[in-house]
Amino acid sequence: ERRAGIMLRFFLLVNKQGQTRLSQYYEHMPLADRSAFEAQIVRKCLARSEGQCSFLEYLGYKIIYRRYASLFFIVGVDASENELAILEFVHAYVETLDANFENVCELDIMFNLDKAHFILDEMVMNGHLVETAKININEALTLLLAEK
Amino acid sequence: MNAAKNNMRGLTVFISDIRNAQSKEGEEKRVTKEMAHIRKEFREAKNVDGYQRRKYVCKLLYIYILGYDIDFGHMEAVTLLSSIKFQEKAIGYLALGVLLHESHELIPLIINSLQEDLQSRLDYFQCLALGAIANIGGKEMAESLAPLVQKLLVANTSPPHIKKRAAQALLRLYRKYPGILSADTWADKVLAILDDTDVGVLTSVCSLLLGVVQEEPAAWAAVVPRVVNTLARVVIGREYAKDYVYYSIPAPWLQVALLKILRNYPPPESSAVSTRLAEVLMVVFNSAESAKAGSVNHKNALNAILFEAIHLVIHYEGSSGPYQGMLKQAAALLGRFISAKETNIRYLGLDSMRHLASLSSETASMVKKYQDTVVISLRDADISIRRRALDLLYSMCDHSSSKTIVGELLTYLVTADYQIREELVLKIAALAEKFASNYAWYVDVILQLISTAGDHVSDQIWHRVIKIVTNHEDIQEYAARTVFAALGSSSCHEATVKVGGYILGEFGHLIAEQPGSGPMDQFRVLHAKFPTAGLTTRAMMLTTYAKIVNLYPELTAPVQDVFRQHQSFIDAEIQQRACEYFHLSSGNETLMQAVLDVIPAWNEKQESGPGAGAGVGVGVGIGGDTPDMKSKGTRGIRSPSLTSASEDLLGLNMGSALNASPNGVSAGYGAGPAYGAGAGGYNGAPAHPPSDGSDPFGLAVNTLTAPLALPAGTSSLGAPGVPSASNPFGLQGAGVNVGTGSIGGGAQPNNAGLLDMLGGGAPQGTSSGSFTGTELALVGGAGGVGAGALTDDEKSLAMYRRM
Repeated sequence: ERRAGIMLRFFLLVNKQGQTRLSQYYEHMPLADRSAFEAQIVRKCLARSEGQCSFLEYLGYKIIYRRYASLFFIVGVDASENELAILEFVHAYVETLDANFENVCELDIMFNLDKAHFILDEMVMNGHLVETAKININEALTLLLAEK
Repeated sequence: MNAAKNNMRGLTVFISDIRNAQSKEGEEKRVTKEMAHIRKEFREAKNVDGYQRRKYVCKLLYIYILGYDIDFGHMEAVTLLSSIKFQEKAIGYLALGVLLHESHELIPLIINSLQEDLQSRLDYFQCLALGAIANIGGKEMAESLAPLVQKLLVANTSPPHIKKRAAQALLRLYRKYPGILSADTWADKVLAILDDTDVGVLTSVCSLLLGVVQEEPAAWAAVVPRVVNTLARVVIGREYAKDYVYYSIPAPWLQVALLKILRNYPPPESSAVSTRLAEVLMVVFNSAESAKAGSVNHKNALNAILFEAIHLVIHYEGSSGPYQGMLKQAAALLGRFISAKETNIRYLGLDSMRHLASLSSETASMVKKYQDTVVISLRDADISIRRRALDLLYSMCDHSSSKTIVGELLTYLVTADYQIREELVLKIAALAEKFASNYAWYVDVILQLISTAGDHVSDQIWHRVIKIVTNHEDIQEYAARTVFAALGSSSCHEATVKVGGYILGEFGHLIAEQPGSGPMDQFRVLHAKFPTAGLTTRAMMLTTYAKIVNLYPELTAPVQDVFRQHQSFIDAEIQQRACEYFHLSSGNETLMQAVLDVIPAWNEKQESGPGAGAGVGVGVGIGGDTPDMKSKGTRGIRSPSLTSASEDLLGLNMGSALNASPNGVSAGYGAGPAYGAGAGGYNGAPAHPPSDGSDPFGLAVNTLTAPLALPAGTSSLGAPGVPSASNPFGLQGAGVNVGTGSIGGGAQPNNAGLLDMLGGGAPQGTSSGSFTGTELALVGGAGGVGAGALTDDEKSLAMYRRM
């Protein structure tokens, strides 16, 4: 199985206490390992200050992260990935969430996990970016919410 | 909180409860209670309608993401798949996308559902199915579903949202089963999609192409002109939907993806395509100007494209055409980046500059002018930046800047934090050796390295110094003087003692005439460090004392005192040496002189990798192979970057004496066959006792006598006493192959011999294994005494000894 070329390996939202609010792995990681893994990464991010750059290396992954309020948006990528592009993608994702939740906050994500997940799945498939325009995502979302 | 109208209240309540849980136990209790409830509901299937099922599956999903394993409910999710309601189906696919993986046992069950949904009239059902395939597709799915997916991708009637997903699904399936997308059948059709106008479709297809192109670049080479075309359309023609403009940058992710595809190929051959591409790149580079203003996001998006373009130009380095000039422009841009305010940009700038610098000496010279900035970055607050700065300095170093750079690195080493020290040490050593115009400087650098960060200086580094000093007569006196001075200071690192001990042992006589550094002074200075030294060091020092006695018999008394004190020392190696040296220095003058003669220059054998030298550790070398040494031998190279740094060090081809093999350890043995075997005794690696079992630790002095009892004229030692460059002892083939008799099996010249000896338990022969070689087996040790590179046997011997 060839894995070179997967853009994202995982996408996590973890808060400062180490609780995972959303997780999507684009390559299988056994469940037992995940909590520890996520907590470790968050700890590394917490150890860094605001002025430091948003890129880390951990266990062979390149990690790109950014903190929005109480949540760390953490993306693990290939070594060959374009870091700034991913950083901005995270921002695009947050903006899309914001458009759907009005001043989105951690609570919104917790209580609407299915929506948040759905939005992510519209934008990233199989680890690759497919969609970045908010309007297209909103269209799909209305479908999800519409039928009663 | 924005509550959507169809929100499942039960789910909300559940989430609130979890949130309000006071402790981990509270949370666990609540979760278990809920799981039990759901399990009960599912078992009594009749009550559960679509809405309920959806709610429960959502709860299960939430629980799963929190970290609790779910061992039921998957079937329910599968059931949801066959619902005709979009919401239920969506949750079903969502859950399965998270819970399953490609080899899960439930996959065959859902293939059917997938097939139906792929052919559904409702394209949103198709989308869900494609999404699921993209996320958890496996080989089975590839076999049954690929044709359907392919059709959806290339059909003219497929709307954009279908095409996007079909591309991803296909990529996933391709990775599991490459046969489904053979270039001959599909290249044209897939590449035609690059003419589509929908940016989402384009981005998605780019990912597909990237995946395919990386596996089979030749077959898909037609992609290059089309990609350039698409790029031109976006960048120059400005053809894109407004929705895809991100902070005034048009479709940044698409641009990045297109540039990435190009990086898999050399520059386009056709001049039309080439010109077009050059135009595009010019526009991109010129847009760097506008990166100075605007929000962080605008700048990041712009710079993302810029960096990708820079990498492309770096990739094209060396080729003719318009790209040379762009390389210079790229270098200038990078120069600006490394001084940028934003840390991210500085980090990436340093990283890219390192790529550029390490390509060739020309490119390295392009970045020379930024040396000062990089040196400043070495002290940046952020460890990530410091690492990049170090890598870059290493890559950009050349002859003219080497002294400055090494100096800077040494200064930095004093205050460097532990994470980066080891790498720093290796790099300094590598640079010092590579650019040493005069070896005195090199010796100074290494000694300083040891005194500043001795703990991080691996044995290979100081072994190297010794080799170099041994091979260059002109610095031997300088080295002796310098180490003598270093040893004089009150606090000095153990590695300095080792280096000092060896060098004074070999070359102390060069400074013995000078006031203050006579033989007695040298002995005193060394012996002052003796009590606090480690076992290996002490073993080495005993050897040095023996050498001193050899040259200056007036010191026999105090030295023999030391030997006598250690004749029953607890460490076997030290004990053995003490006994043997004592005996040696008590009257066997000729023997002693022969044994302790000056070690000749190392061979220039090229050999890769550390520890390859199955060193003819014939005896009076750098130190015994004690257990300490063995474990230390494998230390030192942990991270990948360190490995590469050290491999540079080791594989450096600096011509003359630097890459020597540890062959010529004890020249003394060149004197004649008799010593060949005798040599063995000095290593006394306890693991190789005499074959008659009489002296398991090789302590008995009569190991010396045994070989002398060999029949005269044993010819296996070949060219007697004529050390040649490749065969310093004048020993034949497999080194200390003492010959017929005692070593079972004929004296086979060459390399097999080493292992034979080891296997045959032949005592003295095994000296070649007894690795004083561990230390000597450094750099480029071409192992065995035989000429030529190491054989596998020798290599495995080396490995054995290393362990």
